[in-house]
Amino acid sequence: MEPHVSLERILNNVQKPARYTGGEFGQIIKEKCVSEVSIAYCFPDMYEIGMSNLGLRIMYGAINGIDGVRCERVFAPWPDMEEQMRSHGLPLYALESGDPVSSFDIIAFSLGYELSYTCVLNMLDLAGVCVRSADRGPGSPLVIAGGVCCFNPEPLADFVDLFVVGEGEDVIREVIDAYVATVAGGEADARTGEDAMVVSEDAMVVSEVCDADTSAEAEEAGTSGARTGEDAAAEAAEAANAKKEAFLKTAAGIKGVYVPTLYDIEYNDDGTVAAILPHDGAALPVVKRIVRDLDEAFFPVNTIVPSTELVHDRTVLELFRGCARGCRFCQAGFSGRPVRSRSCKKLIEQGIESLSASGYDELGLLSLSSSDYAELPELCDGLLEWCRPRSISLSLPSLRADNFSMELMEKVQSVRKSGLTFAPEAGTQRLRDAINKNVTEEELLEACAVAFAGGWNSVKLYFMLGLPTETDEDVVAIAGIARAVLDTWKRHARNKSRGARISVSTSCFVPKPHTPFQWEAQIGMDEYLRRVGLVRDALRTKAITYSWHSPEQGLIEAALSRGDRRMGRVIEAAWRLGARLDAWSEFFSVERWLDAFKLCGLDAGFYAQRERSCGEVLPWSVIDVGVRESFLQSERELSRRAVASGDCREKCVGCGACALCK
Amino acid sequence: MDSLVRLQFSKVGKARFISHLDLMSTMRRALLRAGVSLKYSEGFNPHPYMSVALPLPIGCASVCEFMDVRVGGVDALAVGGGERGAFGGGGEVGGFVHDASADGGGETGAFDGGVGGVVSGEIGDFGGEIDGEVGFSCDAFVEKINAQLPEGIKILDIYTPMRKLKEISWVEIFGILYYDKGAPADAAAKLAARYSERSIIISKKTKRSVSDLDIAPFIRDIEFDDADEVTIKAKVFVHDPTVSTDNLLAALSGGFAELAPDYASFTRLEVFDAGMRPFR
Ligand code: SF4
Ligand code: SF4
Repeated sequence: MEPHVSLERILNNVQKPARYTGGEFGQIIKEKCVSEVSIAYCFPDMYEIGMSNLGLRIMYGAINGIDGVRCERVFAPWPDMEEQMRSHGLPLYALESGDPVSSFDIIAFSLGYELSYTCVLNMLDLAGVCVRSADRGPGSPLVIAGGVCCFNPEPLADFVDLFVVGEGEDVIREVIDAYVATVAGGEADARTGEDAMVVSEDAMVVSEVCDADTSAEAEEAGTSGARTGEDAAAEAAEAANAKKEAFLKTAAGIKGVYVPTLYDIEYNDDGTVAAILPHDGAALPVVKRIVRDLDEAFFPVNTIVPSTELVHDRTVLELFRGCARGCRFCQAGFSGRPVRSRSCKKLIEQGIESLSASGYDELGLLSLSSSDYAELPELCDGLLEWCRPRSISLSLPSLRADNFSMELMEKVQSVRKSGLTFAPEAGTQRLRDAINKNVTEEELLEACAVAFAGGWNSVKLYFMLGLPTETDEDVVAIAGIARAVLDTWKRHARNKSRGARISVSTSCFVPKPHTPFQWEAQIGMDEYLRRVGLVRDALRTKAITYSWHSPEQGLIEAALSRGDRRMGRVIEAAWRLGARLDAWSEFFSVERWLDAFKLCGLDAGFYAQRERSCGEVLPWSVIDVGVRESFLQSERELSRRAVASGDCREKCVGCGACALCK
Repeated sequence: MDSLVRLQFSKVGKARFISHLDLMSTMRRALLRAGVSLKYSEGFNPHPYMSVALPLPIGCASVCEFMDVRVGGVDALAVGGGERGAFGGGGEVGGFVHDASADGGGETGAFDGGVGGVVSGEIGDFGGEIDGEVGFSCDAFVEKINAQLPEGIKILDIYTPMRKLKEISWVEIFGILYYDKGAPADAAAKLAARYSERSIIISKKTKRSVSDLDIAPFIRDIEFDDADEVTIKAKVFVHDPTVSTDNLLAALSGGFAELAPDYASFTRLEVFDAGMRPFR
């Protein structure tokens, strides 16, 4: 579609308009047809972030690979664009066709970060779709969600009709099949695109619009004024509702699907969850889905090449899913288990194919802990043979100090040298053992020595503050490590003329569901800042720069991560108070969130800073990621005794996740 | 064996919103996908040699853009999918390895010497030089690159440049002027009257200051129409001073504010050298 004049005019008034046009090389345009199922795939952040997301590219390609299904992309607008859209009444549209999101059968959100929740609500509102599932009338699209946040779907339970738990590429097919069987057909007539296109200038008014929605639609359908017409409209609405309910019940039978309306939650007087009660045959728990064989799984070798700069302009390969390391703070590690790898041969094929198809000059080897890939040297050699003559470089997102080698460094940075990043996470060996981060200071310093001798001069070190059992001694030791790295540079650097660039960065630990620390309390913001002060005081040297993340986003992230269903009210209140792109610190306001909590009679500290007792019903226990709770408990015990449990590639520690493959 | 080639292309529709910087990487990737190997600079951060004449402002369309690229040849492996396919074998033409028989059974147009239909005749001066072995325009090759470009960008011609991009002195633009409350009565006549004044003083912002400039000497062949929509067509000088479309519309202030559009959409139609001959 050529942008029509009004959109063209709007685009002339906003920053970086290319992110709102679509039309990139490689976008998939599918012919529209009557019997199709259309999906608006929404990423609740900016284009530049979303288009750098491999999950989005996989799902976009996989869904469009299904006959009769059309999937288009939607991203969040930057505030300047939102303002233009609201003031000109332009509803949120999908990039491929320019069609309003409300005209799609299904709106699917990809949820990767808790602080994007208000953005989900804002996008629904910009689309002219009621944010709460209960308010959505019969003509409204179905709202579904997937992504890692769905391992605790409860905070969004009021807004999302259906969650896909785990890896989505197989489940989505089954969901679409169920949709076709139960809803599609009659649905097309019930939907009235134009009604849905009303976008209010002010988000606050929307609820009123929504409340009136159903009756307005019924009224309009009965414009003949005849009593029978109204009845017919009401009947049609009822039939559509019945279909949607039937669909949700059928879909709830699909493994990996969670339909929140099929569960009642009871609370204790102290605010904790008393019981999760499924009805209509819904499963408890809902077991996450995984793709068993990655070589067989869909991978988007032909993908979109944006015409505007992204966060990462590169082609990526996915070496494996899951992580065997078992760092006790890491949700991605536990919820992604078990480890499943692609074969080296397959990866080389996919790498060459996708580089040729994209024209990028960097190939990212992506995974949770990429340097753990068993055949990494073979993979690098195989790829470099093709990449070197074409000036294409390989990159690894993160490095581990314990399997670091110069040989590998040279391979992955063969063309362009960028800085090295290590994440020891904690300052002392005791605390690293407690969090099961199996890396020693010697290993780290050795890795740095090798890198400095090889010509690198810059190292970034990441740590967390507020890890369970952390003492001031652990905190101060962070500075010690940084100084030791500086000493190592002095001893080993090949070229000292440019000086060393060593930077230390800390963030506030956020306890996450489905990890051994899911019961732990987060430290308060003041306490975090006190610990930041300790690091800063201990680091008084010009050669090392220290930066720390503000604890404010961490607090809200912690509350949302372990929130229950009541958190939906807080999210909605925060959004109505103006929260939008909370993932962007410039738009985030902790005061706004705390006000929202107050308005809802809830307390952020209850969710973030409270230690849960062992027997407490955790809101996210409705989801089973494959790792047994008893295992998480025993890991937590080991953590208290500062005992590491090692890497499960060497010895299975019996977490239970491998049963998912059976 | 690297050589400089010039791409003439259009940038319309959605592609108007691609910024100048993004256009460079978009082109670079498209050329790489099409199997063209680019010549990179040496050093820490190698970059290909590419330059665009008169970067378009974001939002402005053009059917007459130029980009010069230093190419090292065509990657036969990439283009032919393993065999020495489309561009394998054959004689070397201006840095490209070209074999007409491989890319379409020697159909006409696969290799038509000279700058070709677009401006033939008008640039007869040097047509002879760029004929035959030195200059070339290869339809199949153009097609190959076009298949790799995003919506709205289209290569119109490829050839060995004989003149420097900086010889471009005048640009012909076409604009549609939008008035939210309807076009003023006799818009075309009134606009024509304003722009035919001897001296048209506007204030022009430079990097450091704002100064007055008389743009009248730097506008030629200006025409207006208000049959359907209010339109403007003109040639403006782009060499120092540069008259941008904003500068052009800046003439509609003060007593002429009624003629100032609420929004204007411009397209670049043609470029000329100092002698007002179309530049290629
Ligand atoms: S190495 Fe540790 S922190 Fe990294 S992904 Fe694996 S478990 Fe998580
Ligand atoms: S079951 Fe054993 S091998 Fe499998 S993921 Fe768990 S600990 Fe690792």
